[in-house]
Amino acid sequence: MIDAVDDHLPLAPRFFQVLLALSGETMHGYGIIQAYEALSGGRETLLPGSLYATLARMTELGLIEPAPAPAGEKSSGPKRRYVRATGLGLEVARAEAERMERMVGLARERRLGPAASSGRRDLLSGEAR
Amino acid sequence: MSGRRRAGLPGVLFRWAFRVAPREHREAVAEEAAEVFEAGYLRRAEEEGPRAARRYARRAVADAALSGWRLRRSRPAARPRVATPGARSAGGLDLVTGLGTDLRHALRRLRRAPGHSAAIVVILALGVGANTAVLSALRTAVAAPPPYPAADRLVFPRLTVQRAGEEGMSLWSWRDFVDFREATGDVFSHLAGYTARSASWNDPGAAESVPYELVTPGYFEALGAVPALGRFFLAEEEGATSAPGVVVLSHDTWHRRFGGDPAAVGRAITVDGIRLRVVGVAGAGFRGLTGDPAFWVPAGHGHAVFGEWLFESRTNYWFHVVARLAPDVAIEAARARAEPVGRRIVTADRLERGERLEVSVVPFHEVWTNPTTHASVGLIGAGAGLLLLIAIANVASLLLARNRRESRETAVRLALGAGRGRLLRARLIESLAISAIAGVAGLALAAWSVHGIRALWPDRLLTGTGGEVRWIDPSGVTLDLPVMLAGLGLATLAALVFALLPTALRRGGTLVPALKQGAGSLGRGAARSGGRRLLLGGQVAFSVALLIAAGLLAATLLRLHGEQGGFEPKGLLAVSYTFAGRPVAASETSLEQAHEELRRRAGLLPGVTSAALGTSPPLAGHTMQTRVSETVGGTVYPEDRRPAIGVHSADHGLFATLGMRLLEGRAFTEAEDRRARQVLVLSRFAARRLFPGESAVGRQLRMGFSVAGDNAPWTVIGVVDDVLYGSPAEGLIAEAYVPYGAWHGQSYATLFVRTGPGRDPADLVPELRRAMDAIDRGVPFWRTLTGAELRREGVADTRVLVLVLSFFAGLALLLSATGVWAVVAQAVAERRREIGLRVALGARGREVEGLMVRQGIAPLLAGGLAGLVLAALGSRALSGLLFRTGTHDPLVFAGATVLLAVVWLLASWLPARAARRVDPIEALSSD
Repeated sequence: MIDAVDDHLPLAPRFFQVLLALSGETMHGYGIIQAYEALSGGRETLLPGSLYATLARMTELGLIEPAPAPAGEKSSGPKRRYVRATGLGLEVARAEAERMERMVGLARERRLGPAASSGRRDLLSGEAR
Repeated sequence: MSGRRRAGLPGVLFRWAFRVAPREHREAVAEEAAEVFEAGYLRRAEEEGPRAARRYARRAVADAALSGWRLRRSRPAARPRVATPGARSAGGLDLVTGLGTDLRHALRRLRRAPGHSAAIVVILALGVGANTAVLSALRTAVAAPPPYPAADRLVFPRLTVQRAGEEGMSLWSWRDFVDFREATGDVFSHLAGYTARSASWNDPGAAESVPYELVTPGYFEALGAVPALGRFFLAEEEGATSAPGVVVLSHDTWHRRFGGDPAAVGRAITVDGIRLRVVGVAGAGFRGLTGDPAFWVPAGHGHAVFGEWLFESRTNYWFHVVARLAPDVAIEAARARAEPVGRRIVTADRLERGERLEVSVVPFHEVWTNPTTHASVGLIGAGAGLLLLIAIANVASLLLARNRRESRETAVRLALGAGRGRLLRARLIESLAISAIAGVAGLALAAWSVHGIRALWPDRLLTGTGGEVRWIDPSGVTLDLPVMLAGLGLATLAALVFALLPTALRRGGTLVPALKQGAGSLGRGAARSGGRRLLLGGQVAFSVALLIAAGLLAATLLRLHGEQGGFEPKGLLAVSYTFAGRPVAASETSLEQAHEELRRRAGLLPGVTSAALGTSPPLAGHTMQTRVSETVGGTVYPEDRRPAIGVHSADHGLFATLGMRLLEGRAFTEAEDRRARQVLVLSRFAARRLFPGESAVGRQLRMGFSVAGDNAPWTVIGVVDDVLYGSPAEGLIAEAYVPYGAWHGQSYATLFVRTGPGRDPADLVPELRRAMDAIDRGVPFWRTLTGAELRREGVADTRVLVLVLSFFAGLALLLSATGVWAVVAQAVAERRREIGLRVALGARGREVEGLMVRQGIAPLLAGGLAGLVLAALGSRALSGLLFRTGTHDPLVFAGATVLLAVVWLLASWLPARAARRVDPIEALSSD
């Protein structure tokens, strides 16, 4: 576990996207996969092997933590494992978003960046609130 | 589980792939991950169809294994994340400590590409293992030390009937032997005769047919044997004909039959109905000279079994002679003194028979090894060597491929300042690690194969020349360390060279091309893999040669089986016996009646369709051979060019019973069984050889055998199909069948019985025994063989050779097919970008597939052609082992080519299909 937010930056894109997918909620594996896919507009798939390896690593780093099942969901099959972002995780995601925003701004200044494509910016700023 | 839908096989595969992950991770989440996978799979199957679902499953399974693997590698924090074989070494101490790192790094590299490493290990192990096992066996066969003390003092005096360009018979007659022994008493300390026979062991214990040796006293002493119990034979027992006879048991028989009881000496055994008294037991390691005899009896025993004729005539050549040089007599001196003496004895009264006799004293080591054995041994050795070369080429090409894949990594390391020596050392250690693992695997494989070799050991493959010596014990075949080390060393050397070459070659070269590699190269794969192509061509060439060698021998086997050596083995039984020394042999008339009575009784047995009398069974060796001196009104052969001819007697039913086709003229009549003029039936080979281009029927010939006296000519009345009497290596010789009635007073005969369908001829033996008992209880069958057994006996050597070579050829084919596969698969992988571009430009799947298949064509064609040439040149070495098969048999060459073409095209087409699936966008956007 690394406590300092800056030590996690730059954050691996996959960690960042998982934190985005969680966006402060408690989710189980399949939910994360669906949210992850939705984030990329269906362009990116998170496969189960990678998902659980990622979750294991993120738990180790203290970015996410196990959580009890939300009240509304009751499981019929075997026990499901739920996770949510930790405070540190949320902070790191926010810091990463800010870092990326700065980078995108710099890129624009140097005429490298995408012409202000509203969708992406909204997504970034919106999710990192 | 409340009827929840499952993904079936993909689910199983996913769970299996997840096993790669570290234990604690697997135990925590594997089940849940599998559930998530199944949900994703089923959703895609439903929404996007089965293709999409399958694609998802493939990716997810690979991803599960890969991410599990990454977790496993990242977990133990204690391990250094980055291995440092490339770090420049600072001093001597660092060099030593670096060694451990290098070894760890090498093992990690091997683990990183487990399939690749396993392939190398398996191929090397196969090559080394097969070679070690085979060459160990062959060394035993060729170079086994003789199991006789002071073997260099042993000699074989030979009485040879000289024949131009041929190995002559080297057998002695009894009276020549006795005279020779008397005349050379000061040259040899012991001179003994011996011959191998087989007999029925009647009592005590279960009856069985066993081999034994008929020897003269002095045999054991000449060979330096020591009795374990009792004594060997006394001089006065040599010719003793009065019962009871004496017998010396082999150590093995003593244990098997008497449980090693010392009281066995003095007890009686019954063999072929004759009682013998045990006087001694031979030492544990002693097995005589002719194989593995169960016991020894003095030559005089032959009187009772085979008759007086063996001992009376100077022209009955029937046994071998071995001698030990007297102390202080050198081999040259022995030759100078014994050879002229022997020559005088044997030529005294036989000049008029047209035989040229020669006595020679041959040193032991010349007889101990056999040229035919050497041919087979050389062939198997060459096969094993080719296989090893193919394996090495295969491994080399795998290593080259990997080095090219990793050349960018290497270049980066060099660019970052890694010491070249350090890199070389890392590669070296890796190669050594591979060789060591493969060596252990190869050793295990060889140890296991040796059992197979012992079981397969061909009785006849490994005999001395002329049947004098036949003692090579399969149980003596053990793993041969020197051979093993040699094979392993060669493999290691090859692995080293190919592992180190690319790194070494980069010295001083620019790093830029390697660093740029993959960044936009189009269509250069072919040029860059020249080395692999050369190696592939070599593999292909060797495979072709091996397959053709195996094919030629297989064709021989097939022809031997297919034509059944000119006779029909199915339902045939051959029983050999002799009335010699029995009361019925008192007159020709009673002898004839006894033979005919046996034939009559045999013909009446249920299930028997015909019975006939002849001399020797096919494929079991000749009983009598002589030479043709002239064809009347045709050729008079000079003395040293007289064609050899086998002589057999035949009754009127013999050809029909054996299933031999009559090609011309007529067979013998029933009347000729009783009384006949000098007429004969020739084999097809004999007719062509003696009367080329014309009909043999009605012509006359003279040979060194006549029943009418005065060397009267024989008239040819018919021609029958060829039957092989000797081994395929000896080949066909001319054969003549003379009417049964023209060759009176034979006590020896072979009764042939043919059974109808559904009757096993082997079952007839007891009934035939009863038929014989009704005539004379005292006459044993000394050899009973079914047609199938005859055939097996005749093709034993060939069968083993075919088996071994086919095994090698199969492996070679597999390895070279793998090589083809690898070349094409790699071309597809390397040229993804180009393929993507072609597809983007409108090329069809079939076209890119064809393009990729063609990647392997050039080395296939070149290698295949080289292989055909190699086989055409090398197959001459096989000629002695072939039967009715040319060394350039077009069917074998064409068949092998077609088989290989099909296998290799398949091996290139399968990986080429991957080219169809290249997604142009993905391929062009990827690195």
